[in-house]
Amino acid sequence: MSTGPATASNKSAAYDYLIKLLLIGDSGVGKSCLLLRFSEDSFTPSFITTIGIDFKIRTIELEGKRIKLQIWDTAGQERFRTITTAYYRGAMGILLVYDVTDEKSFGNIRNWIRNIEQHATDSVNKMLIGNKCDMAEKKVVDSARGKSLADEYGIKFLETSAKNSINVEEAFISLAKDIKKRMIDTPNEPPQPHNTTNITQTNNGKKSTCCK
Amino acid sequence: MDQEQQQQQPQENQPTEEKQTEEVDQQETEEEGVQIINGVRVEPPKFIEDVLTSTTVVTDKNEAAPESSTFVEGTNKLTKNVHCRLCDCKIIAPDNAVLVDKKITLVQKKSSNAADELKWMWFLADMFHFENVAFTKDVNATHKYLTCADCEAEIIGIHYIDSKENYVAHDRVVYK
Repeated sequence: MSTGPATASNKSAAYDYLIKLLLIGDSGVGKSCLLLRFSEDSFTPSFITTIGIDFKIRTIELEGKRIKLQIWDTAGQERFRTITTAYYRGAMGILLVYDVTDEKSFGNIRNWIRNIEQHATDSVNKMLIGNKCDMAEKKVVDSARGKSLADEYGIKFLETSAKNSINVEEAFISLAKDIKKRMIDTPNEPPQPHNTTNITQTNNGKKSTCCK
Repeated sequence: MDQEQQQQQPQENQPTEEKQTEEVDQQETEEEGVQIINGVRVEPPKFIEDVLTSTTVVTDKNEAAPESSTFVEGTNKLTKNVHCRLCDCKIIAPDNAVLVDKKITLVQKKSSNAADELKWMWFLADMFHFENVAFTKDVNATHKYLTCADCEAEIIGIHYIDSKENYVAHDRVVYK
């Protein structure tokens, strides 16, 4: 699907900027729930759940600008290959989600980051999300480890609870702010030519330079 | 409808410039189209059939038109905010949609085997004219259904993949 130019400025009243975000992480970490405001209702089985949500459009206001977020959810598909090329195209921000009660999902974050490095543009803003932080008694990945992994990659970190709406809004807004800063407020970096960045990746030398 | 039909390009079709610099462990499996890549099970995208079938009971709802205060006479442009009738989430802001008379059949919330034929629709040429909305995956490879971004409780409209047109049923929203 064509989503139009990245951060398109729209002359009509509808919006100022358009930001494409992706949710990435293992199945079961609660990616879809991060996109739902009323998670209790989501237990009602309906054919909408069966079909699955492809993406959502949300409008936020950021520093006086109307920003449209288009948020894509892999919704449990761990099919690296079928989603990669098309899925990452045009992505400006990625929320990397793990479940704080699931060690394996945390371990897999490194695989996901490697996958992003292979398929997304280098400048894409990333953020690490430890979801289900309401389940304190089952927590196996403590906050310090999440923070330390995020620091290693030079990205931001938040623990969220989709169930209790803790930090969910903050996560999206924080990432959107960073993207706005990078692409709109200080668009000094050279534009990313699509598919032509055929550089040899050394796997660790490419840190995000935009996140503080 | 053919179950084997694929809605996306074959997964082997990777552009050469995206060839990985590190090796990818890729294995075929017994199941058709399923691969194991870096230890992860990778399934081909599924063709999703519409819940609306020839056996669905369709009721012509013949709903009343929206009140005249919800649109500008002549241009039919929306003058109010459109909200989800179940959870209040804002779906469309004023000026971003046009009222049209177009018959579209949408499945009911309670039973997927019952649907309403509705005729008053808010038309949006551009999906980014929505305030908040959720798009389902492709159905029959021709359309996506629209649902509330907050509650995902019922189908409120439809997006046609070819034309990119979006329609939200007046009957399934409220105005503020």
